[in-house]
This record gives sequence, C-alpha cells and structure tokens, in this order.
Amino acid sequence: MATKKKLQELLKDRETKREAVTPVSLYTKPYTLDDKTTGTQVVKYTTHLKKETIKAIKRYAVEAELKDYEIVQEAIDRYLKGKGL
Amino acid sequence: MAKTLVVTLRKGGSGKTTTAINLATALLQKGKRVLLVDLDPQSNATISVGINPTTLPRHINTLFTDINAQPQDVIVKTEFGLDLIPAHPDLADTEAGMRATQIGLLKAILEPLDDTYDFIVIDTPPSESYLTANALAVADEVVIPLQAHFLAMRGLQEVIDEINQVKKGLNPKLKIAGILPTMVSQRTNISRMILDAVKEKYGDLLYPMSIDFSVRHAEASLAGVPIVIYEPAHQGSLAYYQLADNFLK
Repeated sequence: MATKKKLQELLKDRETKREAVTPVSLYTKPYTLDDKTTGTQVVKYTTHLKKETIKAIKRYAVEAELKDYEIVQEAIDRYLKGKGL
Repeated sequence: MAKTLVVTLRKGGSGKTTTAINLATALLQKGKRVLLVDLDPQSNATISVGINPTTLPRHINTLFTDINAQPQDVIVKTEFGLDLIPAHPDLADTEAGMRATQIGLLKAILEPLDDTYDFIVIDTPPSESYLTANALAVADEVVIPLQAHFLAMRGLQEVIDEINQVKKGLNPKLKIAGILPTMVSQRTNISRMILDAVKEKYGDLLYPMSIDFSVRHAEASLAGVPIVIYEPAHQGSLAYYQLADNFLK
C-alpha cells in the first residue's frame, strides 16, 4: 500500500519548484491538421525541449522529408508503448 | 529578508492598484529598498507608475514562461526610483495555461530577490485566480483595500475566507495586515454606514486611517506617478504614509 504523503511534503512540492507555464489563448480555436501517416487529426500542443533536440528534429525532418510533428509523434508513441500505455 | 505585502480584494475598482503603488512608493521614500510586482494582466500598476508594458521586452510573464529568465533581468526602475516587475496583457494567456500545482511559482521566482529588498509589494487581479493564489502563497501579510460600498463589503468576507483557506494549506504564516477604507466620502451616509458595519464585524483589522474619494488620484494615474509623488501633502498621501509607518514599526 502506498504511503500517504504528509501535508508539509505536499506543500514543499508545490512551493519550491520553478517550471515554465505554457500560455493558452482563451479566444483562439486550437490549431489542427491531419496527420498524413495515420489519417488521424492532430492538435497543436506547445512544450519545451532542449535546443539541440529541436535542432536534431528539424535536421532529420528535412533529411527524411517529414514534418517535425511526425517525428515527435513517433518518438512519443514509442515511448508510451514502452511504458505499456 | 524581504517582507512581502499583497494588496488584494476580488472586487474591481476597490483601490488595489492605487494602494499598492502608493504603499510601495511611501516605503521607498522612507528609505526602504522596495520592489513593486504587478500581477494583474490589465497592467494598471505598471501604467500608473509611468511604464508602458507593451514596449517592454521582458516582464512578469517572461518569468512564468521561461525558467531561464532571472527576476533581476526583468526589473525596471521608474523615473522616481521605484523598482518594478511590470505586468503585460499576455499574462492572461499564461494564467489560462496554469495548473493548480503551479500556484507556488511566484514564490520560486521571487526567492532570489529576498536579500535585495526590504519590502516586496504585489498588486493582484480583481478575481479569485491562480495569479492571486500565487501572490497569497508567497505573502507575509495582506492589505485589503475596501471601497466604502456595499458590494465591496460583500467581497471582503470572500477574501477573508480565501485567506483563511490559504493559511490552512499553502501558506500557514499568512496574516491580514489590515483593512484600508478607500474612496470614502466622509459626508455621505453610505460611507459611514459601511465603515461602521465593517468596524463592528472586523474591529481590530480596520485601519484607523482611510483614503478619501478625490479626483487627484485619477490625475496622478494620468500623470504616471503615485499620489505620494504627485501631491505629497494630499489627504490620500498622508494616509498612505501612515499606512507605510505601520510596516516600519
């Protein structure tokens, strides 16, 4: 059985970490496009990656004639599959 | 170690921004090292101290969206020498993207400035929001500006309930510094009735000084300076000096 965290531990987690907030526009429709590889609709999602990762994604996208998001999608699909999700 | 003062009440137009900028400037004039933080996407505190938020490359929003941005790099100095972390209208989108677990972010953002200032004064948006919760999570004391108006009095109980909630969880050290009556028309019955009712219910929390209704406050905003700079001998200025003295005891 998992141990329940004490209130002070939970507060510590909430209070001390600095992380980036991803802004969301309240008045703009989510940007969507169709994923050519699977035919499913994909939705714009903003996050943060290391500069060198972004550079590598862009470089491979040009070389493989793919869209950036197709590479990220495949990588995440593999990661989640590996986690059994 | 800086003392963090938050000026808050959910009701708009209650004198939050006027109180925040004048309290910060009065403390500065009394020789303290003061930082004003504008946490309202409307950026009224920023504009009221003479800074145009839309021309700034960095602001409070930068600190929320870029973890590499340092608070020292975002601070601007007003013409009268007050340090300010300005707001920006984009802050509304950032708040929309915030999660409940991110209400401790402002504390982490301001931490490096703890030894640089004696006082950090935070102006908040007129709503119960993640931004206001961020401010209450980092605050030592809360100043509640209360417009002498029935609707503001209703909002007063809401903010006191919210503060009590925060004390139970997020910030046990939080305390209410006091309730400051604002926009008081001494000659009207409604002002007297509201202040009497607040005194009866909240007694010790009500400050003895009050800010009278005056067009000079609007003129000072237009001039881009607090009233303590615009007209230091004005009734409002004297009351704000008295308020500042409360934090210097």
